[in-house]
Formats: sequence, structure tokens, C-alpha cells
Amino acid sequence: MFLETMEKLNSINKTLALSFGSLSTIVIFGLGLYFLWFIFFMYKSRGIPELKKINTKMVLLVLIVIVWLPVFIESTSANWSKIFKEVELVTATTEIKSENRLCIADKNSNLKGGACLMEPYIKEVKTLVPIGSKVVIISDAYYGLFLKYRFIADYQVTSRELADYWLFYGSRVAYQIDSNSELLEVTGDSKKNWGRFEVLKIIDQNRVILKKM
Amino acid sequence: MWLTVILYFLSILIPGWLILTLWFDTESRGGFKKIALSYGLGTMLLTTEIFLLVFVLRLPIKWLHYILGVEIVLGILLYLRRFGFDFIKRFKTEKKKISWIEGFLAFLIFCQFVLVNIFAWLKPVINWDSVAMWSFKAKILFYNLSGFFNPNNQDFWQNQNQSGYPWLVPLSQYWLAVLNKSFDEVLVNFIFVGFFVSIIFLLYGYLRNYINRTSSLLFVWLFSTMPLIVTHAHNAYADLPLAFYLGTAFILTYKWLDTKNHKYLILSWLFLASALLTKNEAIIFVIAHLLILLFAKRGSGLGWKKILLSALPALIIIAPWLGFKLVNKLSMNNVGGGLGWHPEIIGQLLSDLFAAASWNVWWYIFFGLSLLFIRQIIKDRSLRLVFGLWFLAMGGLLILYVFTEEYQFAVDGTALSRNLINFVPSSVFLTGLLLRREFFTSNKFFGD
Repeated sequence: MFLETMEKLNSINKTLALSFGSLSTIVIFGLGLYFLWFIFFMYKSRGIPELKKINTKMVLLVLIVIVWLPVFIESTSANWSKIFKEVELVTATTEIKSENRLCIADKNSNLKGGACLMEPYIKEVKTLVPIGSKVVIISDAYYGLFLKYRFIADYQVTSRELADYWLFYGSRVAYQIDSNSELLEVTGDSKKNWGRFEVLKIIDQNRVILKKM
Repeated sequence: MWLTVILYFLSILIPGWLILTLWFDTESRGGFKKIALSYGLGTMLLTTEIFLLVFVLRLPIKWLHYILGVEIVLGILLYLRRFGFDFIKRFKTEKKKISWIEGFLAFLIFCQFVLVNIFAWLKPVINWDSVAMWSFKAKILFYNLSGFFNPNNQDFWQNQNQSGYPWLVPLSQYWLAVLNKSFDEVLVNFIFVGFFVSIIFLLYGYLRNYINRTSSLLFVWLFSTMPLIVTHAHNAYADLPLAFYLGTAFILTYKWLDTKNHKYLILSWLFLASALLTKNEAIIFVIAHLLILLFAKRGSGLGWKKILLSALPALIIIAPWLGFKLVNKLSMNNVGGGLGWHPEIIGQLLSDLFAAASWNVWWYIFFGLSLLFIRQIIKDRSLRLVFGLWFLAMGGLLILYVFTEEYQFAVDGTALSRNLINFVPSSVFLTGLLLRREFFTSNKFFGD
């Protein structure tokens, strides 16, 4: 009956309901609540003796609970089933938990692996680049932000001019290294030659780690 | 690690509780309310102190340990001088038998508490605003403090996203990192669980002043199960803390109108100041409060001098930040200046309120009951004023989105729903007020 869309990177608004025709289920339930209240007050105002004795406040609250229940049950069971599905993560490291979240967000936002592969990339960088080094991140908007966010603790994230290690990540990143190991072209600047670089790792064409020689 | 979290909460709750007890002891009973208010006041005090130490005086953070120590010792001495050793007695509450339905509702609320704690534990920070701002700034402060104040460094505070945003949320996370000796992507979530629990305690505590325990628990349960509230309860964004501060200010304003106890007004100002220290958008609510105060002043015999004096503690708290903003020419704007006309936002707002599942059917309940009890609202001065306050603030939000470039965040679905969180605690409190017993004995009740 319901569809949950959650865990995107740029929005955490919760969308749960499917629609009945052109109306969302929430609209149906909301109008249903008003209808139930209306029926109750209509009969109460007719002076039916049994209804006169009934506590109005209690009826209002009971009707609220009845209408509240479907989304509550759905949302709560969705949340708990998510927890049971991820129960093995309770004892996992923060990096594994983060990778799990990023991969779910990747799937929901249709990022084609961009977010999901970030944690393995971070792990790779931490293996190849000494702690405390000056690094520059060349990346797309969110990935760049996230990588910087994660590297602050271990590296000095700095400018291209000052960096000893160049970290490329993302599909919109372009670079060119010639046969003399010279980095000739990098996304977003006009400088043609950045000097000689050692390729520490080419994970794939969008994920490369270079060291300035 | 868990000791760090406990230490964090104690370093906030103890000073907050001392402030509350020594200067604002408005009620002798109500442990839940006191915990909630202490968490709010403590966070405000602690982050203001860090701001003064780190941003203004540029002193090392270790000074805060000494300051906190002195504060706590001084507070305890003042407390003992004033109240003696009746500490335990003040926490004692009357024990009443609870019914099975109350027990069941309390159990359901506890399940929500367990749920958000597990989520907090399973979900390290990854969301955009945390990574770009709320947690990012705390991390820079912790790992590159010298770069943070160096204009030639990439991490210089003015080079960062939204440098004009207030600092309460990043500084709370920074303090947790200081206590933990490293920034933990999971532990920071528990700060927000703290705000979630505080709203629950606050709503229960104040609803109990007006309605019975079963109804109070029922409303708290409704609040604790709203899907978007659950999401924000373990998410390192500033929206839930802001909702807490604004909701508290709102409830305290009502308490002031209802009881005429001036201490509630002073506290309400303090919580509004804290809201301004949390997010710039609190300015809308401050303006709405000021306008309502003008109406409340009429015929109440309340002088300007008394009103200004009541705002003084809040002005002292907010002054360093406003001064800092002024000196550094920081704007209140989230986007570029300039006005526009975007009436399409009204449809978006209605959709976010009544069609999205973020709130279950809460807004139908709130608006439906408000219409049902419209006569009582108009007749009761305090209720009329707080309802006016609520709708003024909502109007302010609508004006912001319809007439400024902010509209883009409603269109792309990233902000409007989150902004509505600010209206939820106050609306739950208002709906509870409408179910007071006297309204059901009135002959003018709709339908009777």
C-alpha cells in the first residue's frame, strides 16, 4: 500500500504514501478523519440518547488514533525491518556503516555508484597517502564536500598549488597525463602543465590517486 | 566512548538545571519539564561560552573545563545556600497508579526512543547539510583551529559554506569532539536524540498542566511517531534543535499569558535567543513574538520598562553573536537579496502539509480541531494570542518563500518540509490545550 522514498543525499523529506487515483493516501486518510468526525457530530446533534452519554473528547481521540494507525504501522514496521536487516552493522566500524548508508543513498538517488564507492576510495587513499600530507581533492560538488569532510581529520586539504597528493574522484573530473608523467590538464583550470606526477593508483578512470614528484 | 556521551549530557544538564533552579524556579514539581529546559539552557550557555572563548577571546578550549568546573561548584554552593539539602525532595513526584492504556502509550513512546537510538548508532553523518555545514564546521574547529582563523587558509571560517549561519549546532558537536578527543561520526547523532527526548519531555510536562495523563501521553506518542520527526531525531541537522527552542519559547509565552508569572516571559526570551543562535530563520518567529507582545501588552498593565528588562538576559546571551555578525558584515540571508513573486509556493506548502507523509495526518488533526474549537479560541484571550502567534509565524514563513529567492528551496523539495518541523511542537501543545475538560462542558461546543 505504501512506498517509502528515503535516504537521499540532498533531501531528507519523508515521502511514504502511494496515491489513490490522483489523491495521496494521506489526503484520503485526512478526509476520512473529517468524515468520521462529521458522522459522529451529526448523530450526536440529533439527540440520540446513547450518543449523548458518550464522552465527546474520548470519541475525537479514538477516531484520531484509528486514522493515525495505518501510516504509523507502516512507518514503524518499515523502520524496524530496516533495523533487523542491518542488525549485523551494530558491531561494524563507522566506515562500514557509512558505506552502507552511502550505497542506499546511491541507489535511491540513482548515482550509479558515485556515492557507494566513496568509502573504498577513502580506504585506498588512507593506505597510499601518509597521514598529515597536503592533499587536493578534484571532484564533483557533493563528492568533493564529502571527501574533504572525511579527510579533515587525517590530511591537510589544500589548494592545487600547495598539494603533494592529488585525489581525483567523480565522473565529471577530467585530467591528462602525458608519457613524461606530466599532468597536463585538470578540470576547471586553464593552467596546462602542473609538473610531473607519480601514479599511485588508478582504481578506474574516475578514481585516481597521484603523487607530485 | 559512552562515558563521553554521558559526560557531554552532564556538562549540559547540570549548568542548565542550576540556572533553571536558581533563577527560574517557576514550578516546584515537574522533573520532565526541568530536564527539557535544562538541556536547552545548558546547550545555550555552553555554546555561548565556547563562542566567547574561541571566536572572541581566541583562548584554548581547555579553559572551558575550568570555567565549567567553577560554574558547577559555584552553582551548587548557591543552591545549597538557598535550598539546603532538599535535593532529593525537589525531585520527588507524586506517585499515582497508571492505567493499562497509559502504560501501553508510555511503552510505545519508549519504543520510539529505542528506535531513534538504534538509528543514531547505525547512521553516521552523510547528509548534505551536515557534511557541508553543521558537522563540517565542528570538524574544522576541532582539527584545524589555527586554519579556522587564518584568512589565508582554505579552512578560514569565512571561506566556508553559509559563514553567516549561527554556531549553536556546530559548537555542540565540537564540544562532544573535545570530550571524545576525536570527532566521531556516530556519536554526534546522540546530541539530536537529546533534542528529540527534550521535546517529548517538554510536551508531556506542559500538557500535563492542562489535560490528563492519558491525553498527554497520546499527544506525545503522536509527536514521537511522525515520520519526519523520527528522521530528524538522529540526523545532524539544525532543524530539530530549532524546533525545540521555538516550541519551548512558544509554550513559555503561553504559560506567561496564562499565569502572568513574569519569569516565564524571561525564559521565553532566552529560548528565542537560543533559537536565533541555532538558525537565522528564527528571526521570523522573533518578529511574530514581538507583534503578539504588542497585543498582549494592551490592557495588561505591562510597562515597556518591565518588558525590556525581561528581554535583558536574552539580549546579553545574543549580543556576542550579533556583535560578531555586525563586525564581520554577516547577512541573515540564506540566498542573494532581491524580492520576487512566487505564488506557486502556496500549492507546495499545502502539498507538504496535507499530502506528504512526513507528518502522518497531523495537520488534518490540528486544523480540524482548531476549526472545531474556534469559539473557545476566540473567547479565551491567552489561547487567542498564542494561536495568533502560531499563524503569524506561519504567515512569516510563507512571505519568506513567496517573496524572496528562498522559493528555490521549496521548489527543489529540500527545505520547506524541514521548516515545518518548527511548527510541530507548538501545534501539538495547542491541540492538547483544545482538549481541556472545560471546553467539553461548554454549551457552545460545536455540534452540541
